[in-house]
Amino acid sequence: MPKTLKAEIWDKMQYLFRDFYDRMVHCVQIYDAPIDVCAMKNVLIWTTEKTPILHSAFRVNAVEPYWTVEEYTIDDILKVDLECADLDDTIDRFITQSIPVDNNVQYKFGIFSDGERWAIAMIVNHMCMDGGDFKYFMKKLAENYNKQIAGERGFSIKTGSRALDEVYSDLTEEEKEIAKGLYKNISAVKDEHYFPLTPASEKDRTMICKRKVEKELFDEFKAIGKKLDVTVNDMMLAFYIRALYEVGMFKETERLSIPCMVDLRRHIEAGGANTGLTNHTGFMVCSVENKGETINDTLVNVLRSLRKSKDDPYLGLYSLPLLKLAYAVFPHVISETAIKIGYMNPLIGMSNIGLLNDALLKLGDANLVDGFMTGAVKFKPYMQLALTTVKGVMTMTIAIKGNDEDGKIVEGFFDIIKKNMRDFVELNRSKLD
Amino acid sequence: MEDRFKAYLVEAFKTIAPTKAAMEYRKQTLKDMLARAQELRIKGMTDEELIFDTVLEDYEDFGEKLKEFESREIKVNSAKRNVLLGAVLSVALVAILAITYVIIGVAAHVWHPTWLLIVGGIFAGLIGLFALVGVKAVKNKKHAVLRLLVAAGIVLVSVFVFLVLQLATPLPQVWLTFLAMVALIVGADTAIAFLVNGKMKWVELPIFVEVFAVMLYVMLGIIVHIWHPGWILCLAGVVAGLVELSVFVAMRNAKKAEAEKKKNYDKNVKTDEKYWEEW
Repeated sequence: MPKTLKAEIWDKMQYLFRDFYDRMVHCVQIYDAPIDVCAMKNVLIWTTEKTPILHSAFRVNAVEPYWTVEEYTIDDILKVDLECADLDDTIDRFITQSIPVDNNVQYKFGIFSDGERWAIAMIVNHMCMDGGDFKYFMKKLAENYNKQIAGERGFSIKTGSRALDEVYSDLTEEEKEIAKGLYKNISAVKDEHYFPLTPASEKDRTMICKRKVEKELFDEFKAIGKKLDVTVNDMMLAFYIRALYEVGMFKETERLSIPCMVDLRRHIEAGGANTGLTNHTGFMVCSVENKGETINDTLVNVLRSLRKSKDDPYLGLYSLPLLKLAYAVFPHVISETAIKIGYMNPLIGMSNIGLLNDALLKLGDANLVDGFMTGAVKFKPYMQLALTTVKGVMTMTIAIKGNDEDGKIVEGFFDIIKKNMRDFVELNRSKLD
Repeated sequence: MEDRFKAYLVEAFKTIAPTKAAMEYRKQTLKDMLARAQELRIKGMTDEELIFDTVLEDYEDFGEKLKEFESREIKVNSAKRNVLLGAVLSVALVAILAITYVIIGVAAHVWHPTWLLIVGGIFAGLIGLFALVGVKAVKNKKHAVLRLLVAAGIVLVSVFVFLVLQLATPLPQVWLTFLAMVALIVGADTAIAFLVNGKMKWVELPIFVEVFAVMLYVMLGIIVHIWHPGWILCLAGVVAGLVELSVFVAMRNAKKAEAEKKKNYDKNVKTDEKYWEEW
């Protein structure tokens, strides 16, 4: 009889989201020197052995789903092609695949090269981990790889609890009591604005659209942000929201609400360093009352909306008790239906994954020169903008299931966001002096 | 690799007494380690050093396991024998009851309702079995199992009482036993909820009171025809339940208010000069 693992609430929630997206989280890291495939193989197997969820199959059950730990070999996980004719195309094809929930392994890893650049690419089932833990996973992979090629030992990866309740571990008893009573359904934000993609069709395919924000432009608006005491996240929300008004042709006086992903590890002891790999993501809603005349006005609207959220000690913890109650009281099949009735998946979202630290992601002599991480591929009409930064260059990604026409719409959208960035810099250039 | 595992195990096992059992345990552990190493090789791990280390990492708390092994309770495994004894006793009980039934039948020409002896015996056996499983459930804190077993036991007793009263006495309306059974099941479940300090105990209590009142009302109505003013019982049950719930909520609120009062005092009245400068 195979060993079984409990399906935690986050796993079940991500499984429920199968109607909205493909459940994969994606990461690509480009290096300037060769990667030792043999060393990476050893590290990958070690990591997989220590993290049973990564070699488990999700078993759906009407009462209580669970994971069964499965046998695997490295060939189930790793794909190597060091003679790619077109590296970008190879990576693209690799990361746009999807892993079925009942597969024996829940992640795929690729090492690719065209002789000039070397890349590692990974996709993992979102039910196993979110962006926060994916970043941690990639850092640990690099750390363990570096030890392996140096002939050192002492590999490590966190293997603690994957339970939802870990999210309260850094709260005081009093705060915990309050947090566990936050039954408010935060998803019930009535915003029917959607991103103007073409209607769903059979021709739609998985695509990850990317656009870079050059270091110079990024540095400039970051410097202005510093002077104005606003974060990159605040500014990106302003650029994004303003671009949405334009591309969606929303009325400038209309209220627009955008959920922004929040890493709940801020509430977890030691920032989640002792939990297991899992999802700990909530969201806060940024609602602007109107577009605003200039980009600065949009930014003010964003700040007004976020101020309340930023001061909230329970940021992102709303609705979790409701979810827990639904999964605890009803058998799986009923709780899924109940949650589907109450849960409204945001039509538009933003996730700032943040910095991929090149110093921590160095693989031996190979330096990280480029890369990105992005969330699941959304099905129409849903979309999400993800942001990652490598060596001062920001990459915006939108992963959707769409066609060439949708690709063009997204490219146009990126143009508008970048125009907003430039407008912001021009409008506030005096602050740079 | 094998020699290295052996060397590791020899050292590790020196911390416990060199018994035959320890030797067997050591041999088995070596087999497990070699199997694990083989498994890692099949999966694709090529670095023998890493394979060795990874296998040993699985035995990180081996010292503790050895201590547990040494202090383990060595007991005679009589579970299988007990099952056999139980089976023999059950068969013997049923056989004795059947023989008694036949003897009474042949000697006194009474075949009915003496067959209840056999039914009673079987039910008693089942209730005994429920009791055994129930004790285990209590030990393992599986209270839901205990509650189910108690309910099943009450059903068996009620069926038997009904059969005895129906077949051996001239009493009318003995089917009322089943109405009493419902109140008994809910009552027993509520009692268990209080005994194990269940979360829903204060919700279960008014439900029991109401179920009891309704069953009593129906039984009194059928037996002594006091439908009126017997219906007051039902309302009394509701009132009693609401009073109990109100008292419960009031007590809970008072407790919370007391805590909040203290919190408010600490925040708004209590002074400390450090608050002038703290940010």
